Amino acid sequence: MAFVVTLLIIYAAILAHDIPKLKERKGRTVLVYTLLMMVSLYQSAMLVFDLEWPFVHTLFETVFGRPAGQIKEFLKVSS
Amino acid sequence: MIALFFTFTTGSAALTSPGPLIGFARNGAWLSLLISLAGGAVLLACVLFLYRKFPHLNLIEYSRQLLGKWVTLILAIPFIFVQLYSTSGIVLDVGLFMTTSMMRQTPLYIFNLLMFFVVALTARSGIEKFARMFGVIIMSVVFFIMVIVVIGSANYEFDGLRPVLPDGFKPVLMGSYFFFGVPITELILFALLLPYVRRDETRLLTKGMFLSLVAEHVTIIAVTLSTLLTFGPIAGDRTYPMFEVARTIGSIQGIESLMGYSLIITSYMKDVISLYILNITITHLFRLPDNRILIFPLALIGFLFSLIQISLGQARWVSAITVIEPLWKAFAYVLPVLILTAAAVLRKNRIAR
Repeated sequence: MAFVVTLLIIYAAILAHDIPKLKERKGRTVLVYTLLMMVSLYQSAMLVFDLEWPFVHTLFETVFGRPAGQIKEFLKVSS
Repeated sequence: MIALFFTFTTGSAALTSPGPLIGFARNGAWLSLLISLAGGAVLLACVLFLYRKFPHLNLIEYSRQLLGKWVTLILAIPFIFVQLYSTSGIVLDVGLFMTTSMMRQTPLYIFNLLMFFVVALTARSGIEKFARMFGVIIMSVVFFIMVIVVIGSANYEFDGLRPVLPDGFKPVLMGSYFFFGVPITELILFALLLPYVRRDETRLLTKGMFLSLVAEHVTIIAVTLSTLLTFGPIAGDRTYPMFEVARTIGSIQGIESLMGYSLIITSYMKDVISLYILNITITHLFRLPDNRILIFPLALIGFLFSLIQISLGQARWVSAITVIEPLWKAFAYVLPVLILTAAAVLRKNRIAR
């Protein structure tokens, strides 16, 4: 619960600070900003509801996990 | 810029990398560092070559000129992802240090949040401000490390260094894979900051950056040897080696707090630079007019990502940063720079013909 309240305070503070500045900008800036905030909402949902949704680390482990493991095995010394 | 480069490359790496490095390479860890120095010098030469070709452009801008906007966009996606991963990882390391060594009852997210808040405010203040501040701080950190290395020498057991290669050269290569892959490849990020170099500093830049890379390796070799000489065969199990070396010093009580301070402040500085570079990568990629508006959302994403990473378990995170991250960084950082260097050389030859 404390974490959820903390998150709400963070979102309120960031939006209160940035919305007046975003009103002066248009188009691409607002689009990229909104996209980043949506990414953060996705992450917040993952943490608050304890969901194992995919994110950057999933991609990273899926693509590079196996070859990196093979490099480690190759350089491992059998004791 | 040279001080900033030294801060970024030495930063937290001097205090956190020796543990896993010794874990992989054991007594040959210093050899791994020498191999990674050679690799780092090659990368730095590529970055400086591209800077001389395009002194007023950053990596994203000259990539657009050399490879076109779509190839740049494709190369930028993994580039941004790794930066995000590193930015959150640096703060997570501090949070874990605080919750495992000092304040065990406090939730991790409190440390990560406070750290990201300060990091975001500093990054927003602009490169001129933090570059001036970091030079002095990093000198204090290097001084404290040297103090611990010298005072700690009372506990050194020189047998800890022998035999140098008991299991052959493979562990040394594994150490180089880790060390070159994790902190050294990050020097490529400076390709985004070099256009900020003052005109009067340009002449000294090449020499200064190479010297800085050597100084970084000398510092880390000193820390690594100090850890090996203090702990011997169990040195690789130390998560925060210099902090634990400082703890063994009985003559001055509480001296480990100097290393605690150093770990926190170097991670803070490195994270400020990381977040700043992440911000300018995205700003230049999308050609945004405001270079500050994205700092807070990016810091928020970094903060949440640090908690997501650790929610999967500390062992999985440590395995990811020591084994998978070097390969990912080779793909996301090194490959684009090699492609850009080759493209710049080919273009130069075509123009010459």
